[in-house]
Amino acid sequence: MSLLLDRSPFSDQAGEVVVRGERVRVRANQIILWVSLTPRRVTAPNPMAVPFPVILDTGHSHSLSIRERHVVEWGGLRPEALPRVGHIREQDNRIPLRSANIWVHPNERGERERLADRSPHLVEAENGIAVYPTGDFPRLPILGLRAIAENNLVLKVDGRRREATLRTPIRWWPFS
Amino acid sequence: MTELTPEQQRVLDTATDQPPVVVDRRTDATYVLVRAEVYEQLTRKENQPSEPADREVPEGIRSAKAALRRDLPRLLADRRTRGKYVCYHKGERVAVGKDYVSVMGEVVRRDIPEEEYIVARVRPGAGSDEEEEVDRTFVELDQDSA
Repeated sequence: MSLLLDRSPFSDQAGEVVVRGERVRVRANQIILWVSLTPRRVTAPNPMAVPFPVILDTGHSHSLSIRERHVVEWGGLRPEALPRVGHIREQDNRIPLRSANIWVHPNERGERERLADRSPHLVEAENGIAVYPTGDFPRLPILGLRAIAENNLVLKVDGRRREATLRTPIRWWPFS
Repeated sequence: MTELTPEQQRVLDTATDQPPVVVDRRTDATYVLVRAEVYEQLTRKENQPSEPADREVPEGIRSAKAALRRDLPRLLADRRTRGKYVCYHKGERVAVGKDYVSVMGEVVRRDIPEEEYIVARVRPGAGSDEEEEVDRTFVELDQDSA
């Protein structure tokens, strides 16, 4: 079992995180993960990648939605390097899906911004990630329910403790 | 077809080089009265801005998806392939594997260009070309302004 989020706290107060020198507002009750992106054929995490925050949103029905600006400035990738694999429709807009691998950088237990010294975990986006070429949506990238479901991940939200845990399933059968 | 009112006819008769504009007082929406030939010319396909080539899915990926859709019933019926990852290069299946990384390893080993393949898990709907409607949600409430 791998922990992608280890009791990551979500506050009832708004706050800020810093991404590549840019101060980004995190609102109350938002669960943050730290991710990086690689082109699809790169199946090992980029050791030089600087992780950036995404909001975990189980109401979002795609895997990852991100603005083109964040792909470039935070992800360090040119969108043209990620081929189009399809499109989705969202509020009368046709949004391109680009192939990419998502790497979730695990946090230190109980810490929202301090990352653990463990390897990032690959989260496949089989149908591609939605890259919004223009506009100001999404303010922060969003990791949706599809990513959790298609990667067989287990999400636990503890409202009383205000903590979220995201992990791979426990394998009971040692030979599977 | 709705006929012009006498007032609208008069406006059209007196119009010079600019087409008359009419307003719907209920909604304040404005409309431009132009002859049908002019409208047809304006809406003709060749007058529409075409999508840049980069905005479309590359041909190699489209053929790979089509090949997966073609084979999908057989792949789903076979317990050796159902639930596994497959790679299609253009119209041909080039790899089957239990995990994504091993199949991608085959893509790298064969040096298949990025625009010519897909890797997908064998499950109903795999390789679909349908443009799915998604729900964005991500409604943010700013408590400071509440």
